[in-house]
Amino acid sequence: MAFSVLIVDDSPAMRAFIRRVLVMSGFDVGHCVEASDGEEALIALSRNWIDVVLTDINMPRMDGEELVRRMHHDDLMKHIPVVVVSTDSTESRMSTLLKLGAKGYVTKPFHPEQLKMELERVLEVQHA
Amino acid sequence: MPSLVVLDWNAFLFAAAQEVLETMFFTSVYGISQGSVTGNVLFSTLRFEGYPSGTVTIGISEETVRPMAANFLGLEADEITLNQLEQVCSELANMVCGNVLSRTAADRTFRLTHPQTHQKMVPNGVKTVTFSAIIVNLDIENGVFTSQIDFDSALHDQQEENSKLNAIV
Repeated sequence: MAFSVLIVDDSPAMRAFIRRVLVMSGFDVGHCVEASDGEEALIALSRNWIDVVLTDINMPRMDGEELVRRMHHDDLMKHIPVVVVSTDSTESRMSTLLKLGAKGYVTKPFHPEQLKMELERVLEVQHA
Repeated sequence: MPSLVVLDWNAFLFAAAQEVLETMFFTSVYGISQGSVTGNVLFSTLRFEGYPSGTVTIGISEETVRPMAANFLGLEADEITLNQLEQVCSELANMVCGNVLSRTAADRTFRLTHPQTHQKMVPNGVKTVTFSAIIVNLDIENGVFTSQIDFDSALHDQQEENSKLNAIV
């Protein structure tokens, strides 16, 4: 089954890397949509069928924390699993994001396999 | 709370830079370098605010970072633009900073600014820094990678301030 993925990161280089890593790892990517911050992500979510969201935290305009919060309070979006991909591995940040509704957390740097496994884990939970 | 003064920040910076370069850029790290970055060098700097506070800077020549950026982006080295090289350097600085902080103070909260990247011509034999608390130069594929941490104030001062805050709370 191919999955539609939304990649949210203010760095075009990081978005390109994540896209590449998803393919390299063998994760079955169908449609891949990109957004450079939380606001763009919400627009993309309203216009596209998305199976899973990968988001950074530190972004201009709307950060990843606010994006997760808004999605969690939206009836149409709250079922879409969010995996946070961030350099921030502090315990308080991870705990906050998971409490807000994020289903997974991957810390940069990561191996392609790690990202694939985390995506498969949250999608399995989602479709169980 | 563990003392930040006794932590070996050089070792943490070395480990952080090595992990980021090898994992995300598929670039081999051979060890500590006796050389320094020269030529057209891209420097990327960001601030971290918390306990402690300071800046992380990375430096790498355009010649060295170009094949790394190709690995990162999945493009041919000669088709990568300067703008893309700057984006890659910013990501590199961001990851080194996040990684080193997680190794030293994972139980604390930090705010990181967006990295600022600029180019500078560094002639051979010229030192790129005059003073820095922590500097690690690494021999990597195709050249040298430098990283440094500058703290806003001496670590023992920051620790003392933090102890006072804890006492008040």
